[in-house]
Amino acid sequence: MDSREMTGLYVHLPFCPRRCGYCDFAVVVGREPEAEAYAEALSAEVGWLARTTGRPRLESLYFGGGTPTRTPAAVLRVLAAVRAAFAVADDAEVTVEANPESATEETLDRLRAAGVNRLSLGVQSFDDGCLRRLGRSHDAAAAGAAVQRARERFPEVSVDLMFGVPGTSAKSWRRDLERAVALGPDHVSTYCLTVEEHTPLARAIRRGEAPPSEDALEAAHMALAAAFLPACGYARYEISNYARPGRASRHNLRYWRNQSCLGAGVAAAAFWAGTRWTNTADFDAYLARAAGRPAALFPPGPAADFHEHLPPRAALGESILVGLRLLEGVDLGALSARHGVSAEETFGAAIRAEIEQGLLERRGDRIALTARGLRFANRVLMAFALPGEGVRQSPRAS
Amino acid sequence: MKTRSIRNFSIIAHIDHGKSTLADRLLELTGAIDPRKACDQVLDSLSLERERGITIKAKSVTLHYHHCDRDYVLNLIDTPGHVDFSYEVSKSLQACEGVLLLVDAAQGVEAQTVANAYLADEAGLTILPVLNKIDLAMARPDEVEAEIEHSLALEREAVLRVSAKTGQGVPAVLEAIVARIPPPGGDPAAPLRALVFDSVFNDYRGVVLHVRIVDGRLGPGERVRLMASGREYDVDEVGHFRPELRKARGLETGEVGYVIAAIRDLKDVRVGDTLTTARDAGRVAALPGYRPPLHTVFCGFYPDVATDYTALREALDRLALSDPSFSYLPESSDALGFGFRCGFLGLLHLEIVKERLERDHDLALVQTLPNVSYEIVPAAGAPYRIDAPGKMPDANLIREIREPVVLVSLIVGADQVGGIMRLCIERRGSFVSQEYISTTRVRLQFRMPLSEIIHDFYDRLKSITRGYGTMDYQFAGFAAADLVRLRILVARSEIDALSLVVHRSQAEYRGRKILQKLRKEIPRHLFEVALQAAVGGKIIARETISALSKDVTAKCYGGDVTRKRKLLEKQKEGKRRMRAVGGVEIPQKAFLAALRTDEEN
Ligand SMILES: Nc1nc2c(ncn2[C@@H]2O[C@H](COP(=O)(O)OP(=O)(O)OP(=O)(O)O)[C@@H](O)[C@H]2O)c(=O)[nH]1
Ligand code: SF4
Ligand SMILES: [Mg+2]
Repeated sequence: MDSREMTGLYVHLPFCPRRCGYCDFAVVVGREPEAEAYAEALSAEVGWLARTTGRPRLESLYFGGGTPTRTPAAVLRVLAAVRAAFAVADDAEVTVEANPESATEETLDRLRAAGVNRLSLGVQSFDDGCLRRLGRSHDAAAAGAAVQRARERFPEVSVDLMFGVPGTSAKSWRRDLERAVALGPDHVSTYCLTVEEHTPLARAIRRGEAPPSEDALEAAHMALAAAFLPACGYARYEISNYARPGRASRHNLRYWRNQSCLGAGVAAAAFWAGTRWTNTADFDAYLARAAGRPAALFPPGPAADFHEHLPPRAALGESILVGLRLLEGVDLGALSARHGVSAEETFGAAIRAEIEQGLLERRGDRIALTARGLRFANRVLMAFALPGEGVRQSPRAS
Repeated sequence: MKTRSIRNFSIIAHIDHGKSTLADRLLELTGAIDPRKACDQVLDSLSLERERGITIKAKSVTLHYHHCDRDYVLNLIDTPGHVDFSYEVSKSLQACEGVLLLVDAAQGVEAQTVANAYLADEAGLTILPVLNKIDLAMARPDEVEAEIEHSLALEREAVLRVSAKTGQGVPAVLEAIVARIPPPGGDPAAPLRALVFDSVFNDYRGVVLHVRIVDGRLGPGERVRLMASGREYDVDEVGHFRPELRKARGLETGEVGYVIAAIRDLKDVRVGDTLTTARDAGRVAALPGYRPPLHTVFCGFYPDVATDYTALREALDRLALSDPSFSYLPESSDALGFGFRCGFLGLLHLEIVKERLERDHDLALVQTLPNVSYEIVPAAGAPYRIDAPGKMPDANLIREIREPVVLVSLIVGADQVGGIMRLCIERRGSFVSQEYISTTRVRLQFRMPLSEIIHDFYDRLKSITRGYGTMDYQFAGFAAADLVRLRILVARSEIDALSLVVHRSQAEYRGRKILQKLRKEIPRHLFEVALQAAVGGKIIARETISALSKDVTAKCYGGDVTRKRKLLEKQKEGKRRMRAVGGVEIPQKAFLAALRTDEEN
């Protein structure tokens, strides 16, 4: 056993064929010719991260996007850099996000051969109309085939589905769930379509071209998934996530348990030694800065735009608010010990108020959202959001 | 200076007809200002006047004019044209023997032209009609002269034609002032009597009295008494407005000038009071003085959550020093907390006071809907006035409610009379008179409830007349009306800040409008929220905000916990800024939306 600290690493690959109408992720379109340069920058940042953190052991590695499978060579290049820089645990979870149209046999084979053991497929729906309205580049048949291809190659496959899409019904959502389950993935994520400001979807709704979201419909679809998936053997372990026994995403569990996790790439977030930082969301700025030397001492990293180190009470609040997303809830005793402040003193009144409202419940030393609380999670989590004193960094000249 | 070399006059006109610009030219011609150094409308010295390009306060200035081998002293008072500030005009007229009545040669005679001409006539002053802006291509001097003759009963031959912009014709105005405006009367040998026609607070000098010496003379060192208040002061300094304060050895009979006498507080001085010497105080009769200005419009000012009550009170105290014409008294509201009920001369005045509070004092305010005052005749006891809808007693305790009524004068195009008639009748007006001031322009008069004209009447007038119609109004007493208190309830609790007094026939319409706005702005709750409008115990309109079915963010944001926390913080801050009424959280902007009347049509 290696006694070094365990952590995770997120690597962001921002390339997409075009931007989906609802997307507000850090994405670039048409910059694939620069994928190699980007992979170099990432490798440099990864090397820097490993050196400054004392080469911790990685128990999870996650390539997200964008669409990582659109630039498989970049993924492989960075994966090699990660292996060279960090100690990657033998049983580490290595996930790559994929879109059906770019999850070709060849790409999947190459990823698998390089040690990727989990594929997360952005299916969203098995309904062609719904996919079109979302502005996705694949159809239902392609999605089904991609899940099949992934299942044949990877020990773990996760499928992302989206509900609350205008024009869908309980019936079509149920069909999506059935199709997904029939393909036998290990893990299912169900995300509600969120209308983010400044997206084409938000504009379309404002202009009356797309129907506004209906929370009653969304709640009904959420309830449908929460009843259907467990009946098929997928336990709900987080507000939006379901898994077969032992197949919960270890990478995401690190986030929800508020454990350290490093991040590399455009807009990547990192949390290490109590400090959080977020990299620039600007592709060009990232390219220019990732290989440079950070002006300040560690952390944050060379491409960071923002960093903060929360005072203990705010840090405790953060641990609670991310942890409550898990159905297991949080252990107040353990968190009080970890942050050195009493949860009872800091949040006792708020917790009792939410319990009274029927949104939270107490299970021994733990608190967790009730079934009703899962529907109104933001109301509850709000109580634990204390302001930090983050520093927005002006981009350094390279 | 001999009394007969003095001329005291005001410049009066409809808003924007060029009073302050003509004053510039008169100042330049008499050497009071250097044309190369001065800005336009030099007398509009308040920052708000400069920004808005209008005059708000009357301003005095003394000019020295040499003509036909004689030296004259001309005291000019530039007045505001806007109806809200007509009190400034009446104050100024008391200090004068004559007026320059300006009429824009393109616009013609307008509502305030007529109103101000009447004021001057009632005060017995000589009126010099002056046709301004003859340089404009659209000027129609002959027609406008005919309008002046027809509607103001002034002789055509007396009209002077000028351009205050280019200076054309302005020397003739100076000549006419000395030739046609009589010198002041008054007895230089009699005991001092001076009219206090204005008072201004100066940060360095304290209160500066603006006076017109009616009899006798006044110099520094004199012990004086303000007759109405009975207070006595020692005069430190007297002088003239040039336009800055210029010290003089004394102020003589007939002159206009200032007096500084260590007066600390504007509240100690009543404009219209008579100043005399302490030793003569028993022997002289006070001058007629003025009626205090009438507050026609009222509203509540409440501090936004970010602003505190003490800061608001201090700002009001400070502002009252430079503008004594608004009133403020503490009041409280369940929905808005502690604030002040304020009275104003009109809507523009309200807007200006609010702007000064927000900008000069850096406050964030919530303003309740402007309302008029009401006279309540109770079932038992004497009538009394209320200035807030929330103070309206229950209907069964009231014998009668009376509302203020005004006589509205409108000048509009002959082809617009139909539209204006419809508007006025829809606003509960009754027709009084109609008079052609030329072949194409008509002056209409209506008696109307004041409350009907403070809610977007002016905008409607402007839209019906394509911007050309003008109006003026005068208070015409209180009259009984079928008024009711419209109550707004959220989750069965009354929101006092949203109550209104309305005519019974409009209660349902207004109630429905307010509920619709609230429905849009109050976020959904975990339970259903009922919105109701009621008159007495009767619900006349209702809306429902359905219960929220979910409030949860799905996304994981790639581990960007900061972003997630920030979103929640923002949501929490929004919640903190809401007022909880009956368990329902109401955001400030819901009050603001419900209180706004624009866009209603
Ligand atoms: N063309 C032209 N414009 C003029 C003339 N006199 C004034 N103006 C313009 O008319 C506008 C209003 O002039 P002011 O002198 O501020 O009018 P006012 O009567 O003092 O306005 P209030 O004090 O707000 O009632 C300004 O834009 C002036 O430049 C003139 O003789 N000819
Ligand atoms: S594929 Fe995903 S990351 Fe790319 S644009 Fe669409 S939603 Fe955004
Ligand atoms: Mg002016």
